[in-house]
Amino acid sequence: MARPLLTDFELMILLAILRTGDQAYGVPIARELEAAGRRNVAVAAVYAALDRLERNGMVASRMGESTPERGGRARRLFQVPSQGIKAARETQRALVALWSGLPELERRL
Amino acid sequence: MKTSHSAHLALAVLNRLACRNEPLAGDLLEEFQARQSGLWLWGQLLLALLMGSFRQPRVPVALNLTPIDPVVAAWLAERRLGMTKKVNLTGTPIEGVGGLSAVILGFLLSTVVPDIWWFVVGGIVCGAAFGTAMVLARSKRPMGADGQIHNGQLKDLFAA
Repeated sequence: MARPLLTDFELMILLAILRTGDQAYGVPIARELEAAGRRNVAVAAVYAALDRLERNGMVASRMGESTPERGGRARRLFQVPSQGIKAARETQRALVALWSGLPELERRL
Repeated sequence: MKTSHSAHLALAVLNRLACRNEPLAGDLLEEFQARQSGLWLWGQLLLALLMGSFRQPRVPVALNLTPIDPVVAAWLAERRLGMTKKVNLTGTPIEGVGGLSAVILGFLLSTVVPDIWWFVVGGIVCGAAFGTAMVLARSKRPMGADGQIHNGQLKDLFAA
């Protein structure tokens, strides 16, 4: 059975985690998405997608340190394992394959 | 930190729900400190509630399969599910006759025996007249300046 492709939001989240680095948790991931998409992002929606990705083995999480501005609550730090990187590459390949051969879209790039 | 009343309320709700999803609650609090917008916090909180992010995690319960007599099973089901206690939620004194049933009943009465509406209207008028008479009779009772009947006035009332 072929590996399922990621949705656009899941792909954006994986890329945001990779861009953020070691300290990838809800707030910086949401900020990356907001900066890229120029729209507000619900933090709960980010967590819902992250939970789904973690169940499918596309991301891994661990609990980080807590800070006073978080009311003493711990951060949940995310990273992308090799399976997630593979899924992101396969989704990219599928999108590029669909994208190619469409001159009206290539002109806008 | 200066926060509005609505933001205080949102923070109170968030603190209440925080134990169910601590990382999300911490993230919302951290971002709220940066944005200082009660509207943003309410929006995020409502979306989180709608998406079930603060839902209580389900604890799996082991099935206890026991051979049981059907009569005892029915009794247990009635007791556990509370099927014996019926509550009238129709808004009318007659059980099972609610809003739609009342409309249908009214329609049937209007088409089959329209004269019965004279009794209904008469009943309403008599009820209103009786209520008005009761209010007037009550207002004529001797009362003190504070609106209460005192001992001396009660004696006069009985003497009359």
